This record gives sequence, structure tokens and C-alpha cells, in this order.
Amino acid sequence: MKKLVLGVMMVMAMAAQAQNDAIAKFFSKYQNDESFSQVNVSGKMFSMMANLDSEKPEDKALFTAISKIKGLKILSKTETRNSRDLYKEAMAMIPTNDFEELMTIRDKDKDMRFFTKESGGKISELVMVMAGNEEFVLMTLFGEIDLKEMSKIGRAVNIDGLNNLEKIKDKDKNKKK
Amino acid sequence: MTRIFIFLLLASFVAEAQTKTTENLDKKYEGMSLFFYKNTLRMLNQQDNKEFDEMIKDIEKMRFVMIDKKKHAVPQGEYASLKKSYRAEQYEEMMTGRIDGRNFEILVREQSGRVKGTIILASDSSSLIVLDILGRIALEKASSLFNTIDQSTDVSKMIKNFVSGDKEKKKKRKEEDGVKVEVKDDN
Repeated sequence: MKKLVLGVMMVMAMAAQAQNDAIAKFFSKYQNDESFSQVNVSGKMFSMMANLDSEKPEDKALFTAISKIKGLKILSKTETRNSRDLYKEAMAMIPTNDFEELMTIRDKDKDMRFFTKESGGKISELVMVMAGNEEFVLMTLFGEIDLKEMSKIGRAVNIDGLNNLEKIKDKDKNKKK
Repeated sequence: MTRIFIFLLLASFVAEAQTKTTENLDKKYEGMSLFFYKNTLRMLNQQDNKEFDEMIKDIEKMRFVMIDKKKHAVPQGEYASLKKSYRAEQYEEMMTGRIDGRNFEILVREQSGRVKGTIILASDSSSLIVLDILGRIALEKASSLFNTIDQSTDVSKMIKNFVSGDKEKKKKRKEEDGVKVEVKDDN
């Protein structure tokens, strides 16, 4: 019985790893292509940002949310004619069994889709895929993610691409109406 | 412009290297090395940008080193080797990436939970740049500081003067001011 449980756990762990690998592979595929821009932010940086002093209670909630983020990766390409092909390629590699679609936005010429992955009842990864007529962005944020604080994190981190996280807040507002 | 230039020269007079890696890099390539103090950084903020002042408030001093890759044979592995050397000086990687063809790296050294030093490395086909900061900056704004230094008209002009200016003039100016800021002979 113990062997069976262990076996099931190992299969599940391998399946989860394979799904993470799918996104990692996409990053790896283009990381040496100089026509792409990329940013990797370590969990250490987020934990340092969370150590900032603030007396405002709302900032404390933000810092707590930031401290739980383990990393951020952004891959982008601008002035490109194949943005839609990249978008299709990225969408095809997102493991739909594991990721749930959070939101879809069409804004003028831009298509944007957000996906979340849950683990133990908490969001452990947020993926954003965006394509315009001449630009493409893939972003993945991982750790323990508090969606309520996402828009603030987007502003606090001040990194191109994260401003799109504001849209999550807008979505929440629309839901309440 | 002149006022900023004089301040930069005076500031550099008493400045010291922040890390051995940066010092060794400068010696190895005899590149351009500039020192900034909080006051001189404030002088760059001609438009009184409050965000910029906030960004530099915890910087004690900063060294800017630029190696012209067109003039020096910089090996391909130099960037990776620099990162390794900074890590050996207890610096940890905070952010890495490549934007518009320029690779960059932000590393931080902590002591007792406080940031003591920050390194911003940048490399593209034409130059290798190091910002060696004693103290801390808001990391999420590190790229803004880099851009300000990189794009500041005053600093750019100064760099241009240093790089393309007459060496004798520089030598004379250095002697007159008794300063440490210098662009060494590339030949």
C-alpha cells in the first residue's frame, strides 16, 4: 500500500514537473535569441522589497504579498511581424489541465490572456500571454500569489509588462458591479 | 554643466573603490572610471525629480566604470567571469535579463540583513558598464538610475569628452585639479 501511495505521488510530481517544464522550455527556446528581451527576478529580490519599513497598514498587506513571491520571468519581443505566431505557440504550450484561465482581454489590437495554477487551494503561478500587431509578451509569476494585491505589486515592482496586472483589479471591480 | 563637472571631480578625489572586482576590471582595461557621491548624484537631478531623490537617498557613493569594447579586446566570457567574481565577494543575484540587446545584472551584498552594496552590470556589443554602489537603491528602480546615468546629457557629454578629448588636456586638467577621475591611455 505504501509503495502504491509513493508511486502515485511520484507520478503526480513528475506530471507537475513536466507541466512546469513546458513553460520553462518556451523561455529556454528564446533566451539566447537577441531579438527577444527578457527579465528574471529572483525570490530574494521580492523578499528584500518586502522588508521595507512602512507604517501604512495597506502597505503591510502589500509587503506580505510580495514576500510570498518566489520569482518572476518575462520574455518579450517588440517590432516583430510574427507576434501572433508566438502567441499561438505560447498558448499551445500552456498545460490546460493544470492552468485555469483567469481572464481574457482584447484591447484595440492587443490580445491578453491570464492563467493561474492552484496548489493546495492557493494560487502558485500566474501566467500572462499577450500579443499585439507587433509585440509579444510572456510573463510568469510564481510563489504564493494574492490576486487582490496584484495591481499594487505591478505598480510597486515597476517592471515593464507587470502593469498589465492592473487589469486583474479592473476585472474584480467589474465583477462587483 | 561646469558646476556638475567640478563637483564630480571633487567628489572623485576622495572616492575609493567599492569592490575588488570593479577595481581589477578598471585596472585590467584601463577604462573610464567616475565616482559619484550623494551630492553629485543630486546634481544630475536638474529637474528636481522627487522620485530620483528618493531613489538615491541611501547611496553613500557610486563608481561608474565603462569599458569600450571597440578599443579593448574584451573576451566573450568576461561578463560571466565578472558575475562569478562578484559572487565570490558575497554578492547575490537579484535580477538578470536582456533589454534591447543589452544584457544586465543586478547583484546585492547584505550584511546583518541590511544591503551594503549593489552592483549593476550591463553589456552590449559596444561597451561593458559597471555601476558599483556602496549602499542601496530601491531595486525596482535600479534600471531608472542606470538610464539616468546612461542618458543624462551632462554625463554623456562628460563621457564623450573623456573618451574623445585630447589626452594632454586631460592630463593638465587632472594636475590642476589634483583629482583621481581619469581616462587612461587606450593605446
